[in-house]
Order: sequence, then C-alpha cells, then structure tokens
Amino acid sequence: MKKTQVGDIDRSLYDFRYEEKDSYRVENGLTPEIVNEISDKKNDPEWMRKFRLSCLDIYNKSRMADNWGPSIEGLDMDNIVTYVKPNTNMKDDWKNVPDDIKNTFEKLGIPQAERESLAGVGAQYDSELVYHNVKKEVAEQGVVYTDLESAMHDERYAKMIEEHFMKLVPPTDHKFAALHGAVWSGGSFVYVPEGVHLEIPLQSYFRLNAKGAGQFEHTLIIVSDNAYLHFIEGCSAPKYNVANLHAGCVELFVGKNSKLRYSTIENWSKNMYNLNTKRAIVDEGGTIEWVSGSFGSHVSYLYPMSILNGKGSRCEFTGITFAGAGQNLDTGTKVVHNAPETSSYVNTKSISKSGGISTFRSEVIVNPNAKGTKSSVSCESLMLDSASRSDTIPAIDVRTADADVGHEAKIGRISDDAVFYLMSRGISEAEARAMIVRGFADNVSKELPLEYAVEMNNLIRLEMVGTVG
Amino acid sequence: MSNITINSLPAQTWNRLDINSAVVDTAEFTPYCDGGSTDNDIDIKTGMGEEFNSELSSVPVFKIENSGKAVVNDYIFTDNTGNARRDSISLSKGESMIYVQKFNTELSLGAFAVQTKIILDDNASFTLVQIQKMGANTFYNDIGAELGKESQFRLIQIILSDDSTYTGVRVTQNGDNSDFDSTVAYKAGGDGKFDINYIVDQYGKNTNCNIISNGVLYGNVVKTFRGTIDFKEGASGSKGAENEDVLLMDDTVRNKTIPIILCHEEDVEGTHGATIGKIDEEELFYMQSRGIGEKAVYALLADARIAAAASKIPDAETRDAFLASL
Repeated sequence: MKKTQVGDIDRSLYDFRYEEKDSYRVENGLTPEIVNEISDKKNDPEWMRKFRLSCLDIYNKSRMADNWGPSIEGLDMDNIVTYVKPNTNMKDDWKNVPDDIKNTFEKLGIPQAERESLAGVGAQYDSELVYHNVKKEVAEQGVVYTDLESAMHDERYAKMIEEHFMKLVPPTDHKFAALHGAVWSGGSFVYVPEGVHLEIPLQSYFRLNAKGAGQFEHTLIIVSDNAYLHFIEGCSAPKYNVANLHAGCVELFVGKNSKLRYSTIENWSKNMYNLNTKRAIVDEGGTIEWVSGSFGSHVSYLYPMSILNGKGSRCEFTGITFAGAGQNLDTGTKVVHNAPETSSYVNTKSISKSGGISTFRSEVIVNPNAKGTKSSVSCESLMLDSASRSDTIPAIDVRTADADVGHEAKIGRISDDAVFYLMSRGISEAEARAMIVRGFADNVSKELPLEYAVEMNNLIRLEMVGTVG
Repeated sequence: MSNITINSLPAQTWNRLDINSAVVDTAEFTPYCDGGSTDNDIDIKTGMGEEFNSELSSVPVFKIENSGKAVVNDYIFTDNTGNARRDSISLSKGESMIYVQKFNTELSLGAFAVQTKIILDDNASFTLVQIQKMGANTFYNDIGAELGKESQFRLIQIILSDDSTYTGVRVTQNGDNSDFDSTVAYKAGGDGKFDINYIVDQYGKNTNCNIISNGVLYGNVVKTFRGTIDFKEGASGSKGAENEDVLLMDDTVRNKTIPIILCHEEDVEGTHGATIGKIDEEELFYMQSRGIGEKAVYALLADARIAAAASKIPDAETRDAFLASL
C-alpha cells in the first residue's frame, strides 16, 4: 500500500533560547506570598490584589475532572515559576529593546511584519511586555491598543477594565482560570470605538524563553458598535526537558453589528502544557470569527467559546490541529446560542501522525429563547499512520423545536481515488499526495493574511515519498 | 431498588453537559415468568454496562433456540407477570435466525427491564426485531453482541414511548469482515427521558457498521442519543457510519446528541451525521396547501419514519401486522 510520508513540524526556527540575564523571578510554586509579590511588582490597585488572592483560594479548592481530557500528570505546579521579568521595561521603539530580546523577535519576523502589514504590535517576553506600539494614524481614530496593566492604571480606562476583567471567564470556570486570575501578567487591552473599521490587523506575540516558567497573559478586547477589528496572536517557546505552562485568558466583547476576527497560530514547544481559555460574547447583529491553527504543545486544552447573546449574532470557527509525536492535543470549540436568529458555522480539520493524539471536542447549545437558530459543525480528521489516534467528541444540546442544527464528521486516510484523479491529469503521485494534504489544511491558511498563511504552510513541511508496500 | 449508572460513554466529555451517562433509580426486578436459568447467562459486554448487568444477575436467562423460521415472542407485562426478562442467543457457524421481540403492556407507572445477549460464530447471521409499546412506563432495554468472522447482526428497533425508555446496545466486532446494521425508529414523548447508548467496538479487519436513528420527539421528553464507533488498532479496511435525524415537534422537548468516533487505525473510513430540528418549511407548506393541518403533518411524518423502519422487518407476518396498526 502506498503510504504518505509527512515531515514533522520544523521547529528549528523557534527552538532557540537566550540565557536569562538579570531577570527577576519569583520562587517556584504557588502561595499567597508569591501572589502578593507579583501584585506588589505590578503596583496593582487594591481591587486587583484582592481579586488575585480570591482566585488563589478558588484554585486551591478546585479540582480537575478526572474522567475526560489528556493527562497533565507531568505538570507539577510546585516546580513552575509563575513570574519571570526580563531586565527591561516596555519600549515603543525596537531600537531600545535589549539585543537578545530584540533578536528573538527579529528571528520570529515580528518587527518586519509590523513594518509591512500591521497597525500595531505587542510583544511579550516571559511575563512582561517588552514592546508595544500602535501606528499614529490608528491611534488618531481613537483606537486604544496598549498593555493591559498600563490601561488598568490609566484613569481613562481603569473603570472599563475593572468592569470587564474576568467577567466573561470567571475564575470559577475551571481550575486554570482561577490560576490565571491569581498570577496573570502582561497581555493587551484593545478598544475600538464605535464606527471604526480597522482594515489592517493588530498583533500580539508571546514568547516564553525561561525554563520551567509559566506565561499567564490576559487579552481584553472591546469592539464597540458598528466597528471592525482583526487581531492576530502568535506564540512560541524553545524546548526544554522540563514542563512549561501557558494558562492565558482571552476575553472578547463584540458590539452591535460589529465584527471581530481573532486569528491564532499556536506553536508552543513540545514541553508546554497549554491550558488556555478564550471566550467571546456577541451582541445583536455582531460576528465573531475564530481562525485557529494549533501546531505546538505537549498537551493542549483549547476550546474558544462564543456566546451569541444578541439577535442575529453569528460565529464562525475555522481551525486546524496537527498532532505529532509526543503530543496530545484536545481542541475544539463551544457555541451557546442565547438569542433568536443566531447562527454558527464550525469547520475544523485535524492531522495525526507519529503517535500523536488529536481530539476534537465541541459543544453546541441552543437555548429555549434562541428561536430561528441555525448551526452547522463539520470536522474532518486525517490519520497518517496507525500509531496515532484521532477522536471526535461533539455534543449538541437543543432546547427549542425552532432550530436547525446539523453536524457531520469524517475520519480516514488520503483517498486513493483522489490521488488517482490527480495522477490521471499528469501530476506525479508524490505531488498529488502533497497537494491533497496541503489542501486539507487550506481551510485555515486561506483565512489568514498572506504572510501568516506562508508561515503556517512553512510549519507544515511535506515530504511525499511513495513506497511500494 | 438501586441508584445506578447506565449507558456510559466510553470517551467522556464536559461533566456539566450531563451527557456522559444516565443515573437511574431502578425498581426491584422479578422474573417475567418461570423457567430459564442463570447458567444460560453469557459473559459479554452490554450497552447499559456492568451496574445494570449486576441488577439483573439474579433473573434467569432463557436460551432462545433457532427453529428454522422466525421466532416471535410477545412479552405482555401484566399484574401477573414479573417485570424482567433475559434472553440469550448463540448461533453456530453458518447458522441463520430471525428473532422478533414484542414488548407490550396496559399497565401504567411501572418499571420493566429486558436484556438480550447474542454470540454469533463465524458466518452466522442474526436479525433481531424489537417492537416496544410500553406506554407510560419506564423501560430498560439492554443488548450485547459479539460477532465472529463474516457474521452479520441486523438490529431493527421500533420504539413508541410515552414515558422513560433507556436503551443500551454494545456490539463487539471481533471477527474480520463482520457486519452490524442497525435501524432505530422512535416516537418519544411524555414527561420522561429517552436515553439511547450505542457502542460498537470494531476490532477485526474489514468490519462494517451502520447505525441509523430516525425519530420524532414531543411533549416534555428529554432525549439523549449517544453513538460511539470505536476503530481499534488493527481494524484496517473497516468502515463505520452513524446517522441521526430528529424531528422536534414541541418547543418543550430537549434533544441531546453526541455522535462519537474514536480511531486508532489509519486505514478506516468513519463518518457521522446528525440533523436536528423542525420540519422543512417547504415540505410543511406543501402539505398545508393540500389541506393537512400542521399537527397532522407532524403525525404523518412520525408514522412515516416508523413505517420506513418497519418495512425492513424480514418476517412478513410481524411486518404487516405492525404496519396495519399504525
């Protein structure tokens, strides 16, 4: 039987590191003293300090479910450093960023992307933002793109932050939401005023350089009515032989008739435990679009959630997950239809190879008041060998008769008929198989700006070899 | 009476969805009639799981013999019968059998249980038809089957439920080229639960599994359909498909569906699809323009789904009698 050989993700671009020079780190583990130390370092307002400590309490009392999901046995919180501050403050000019950090982001292409195609960039290194800038003409439209901590101390935005921070993802949501609430650091605040359409994306990039550390950035985006924003986030880390942890949080508020596209290329190293929480709430006529590429991490729990809370609101989720050797990636999405005439469309793909485990997990809930709802979920999985696993676990809960909900899933290998069809058009077998696998991932790459689509395709390097078996 | 967990998913998900399993307070189970023996029990997995199997363990098992023509058993539960019945069927190499079970009662607000265990040797072929009209009662229906090489198991379930029905089916396809085909058609309403759990473990090479579930929900029923197709490592060349189509008649019903595919083998084809909702508007308009009211349209469609499943019953007498009763 002809087999398809697919090269593993090429991580050499990302697997470099710099020595922690003169950085500040708290001790390993998680105690009220450590949480207070972080709060002191950040000069938190009193409400935030209390909030952090209450989250620690919730974290200590919560437990992970033991009947579903990948094991996180290898994650020992006593050995995780929750705060590492590089020896620099945040700059708005790359020239002023320390060389090793600047070189890190140069290698990752961030300054170049900023020059060529972005309206603003935030770059986080370990626990702190080291660079943040927004183009003048964007700021002049009233768009706010700044680090969350500065916004929290800025009297123009402080109240807004307090009213929204961890209201959409409360610390009681799950154990690692509580952990995030206790030790969060860094992350961005974006505010798009009413009627503003930002045609060029904003981007945040998260780099975790420190060994045995955690990154807990918080992204808060408020898009007012009749506005548009495309926000891109990327992340990576060098590989170590000890665990790193990412427990970030993203909260998105989409106003009436507004549209927010949130794109992510996740490429954490294979020692990373990625326990991330992302949630959007959408008002009347609004749209949230998720574009999600998951390529990294040792273990991932990632289910961006959309709450369609206004009449006619919409959600689109497009995702791809690539699970290779040593990876157990449990990803998917959740949608709650909580108003009439709402609609959701989910289209995901996954590839498993070399013993990788990919699980698509989803929930679609249609509440009794969500009359006239339409929802469609489609997931397709490609298995490239029998050492790997691919599981599909989609749940649907419909609580009104006035809804149309459909779901379909498919799992298998590359179709011999499709290969034959292409070969009959003069294409070699190796190229035919390559085309099919590239096309399989096309649902995400075509939704990204060109530069990011190129990066994503570079992450999946393909070697097609036909063997006679 | 016991509080037990039944119909558990082999791969579970978020607990707050309350979809991983069902927890029930069972009744005391007494044998439907005299006869049978617990020695006839077969040690195989069933859809409802171990706890339910233990609940019934003292109920004698009747070994159903192949008579050469369709075996039809009409289980009519009355005040003079017990409320639990267990059957076992073992077919030898190449044997073929049709078995019809009809479950009926005029009683109300009781609990009844049946369990059917099946072992098919190589090349055996078995068709099980179940017709359930248990009115306003709680009905537990548990099935387990193990399939040998090139054996075929065909299951047709027709369920008319006005209260709570729990159905669990577990099929283990050990043999290469074995085939499992299931059609479930139901009309479920009332104030209870309608809880189905299908698990198909495909171990052998070139095994085939096809599950179709079509039904209508009305009243205040809460329905949960769990369908798991599990391609084990080594099941190369296998195919599995499940398809669910649910029509929701009343706004007070609740439908939960979780069609799962688990895969540890590259060379397989697995598909599942689910469609949930109301009648197509054009279809409704067409019928109404012919003078048929909306409620009558739904009733017609419900009967049509049941009739479509019933038309597959291989025993002509059973089929014709049931279709005439619709």
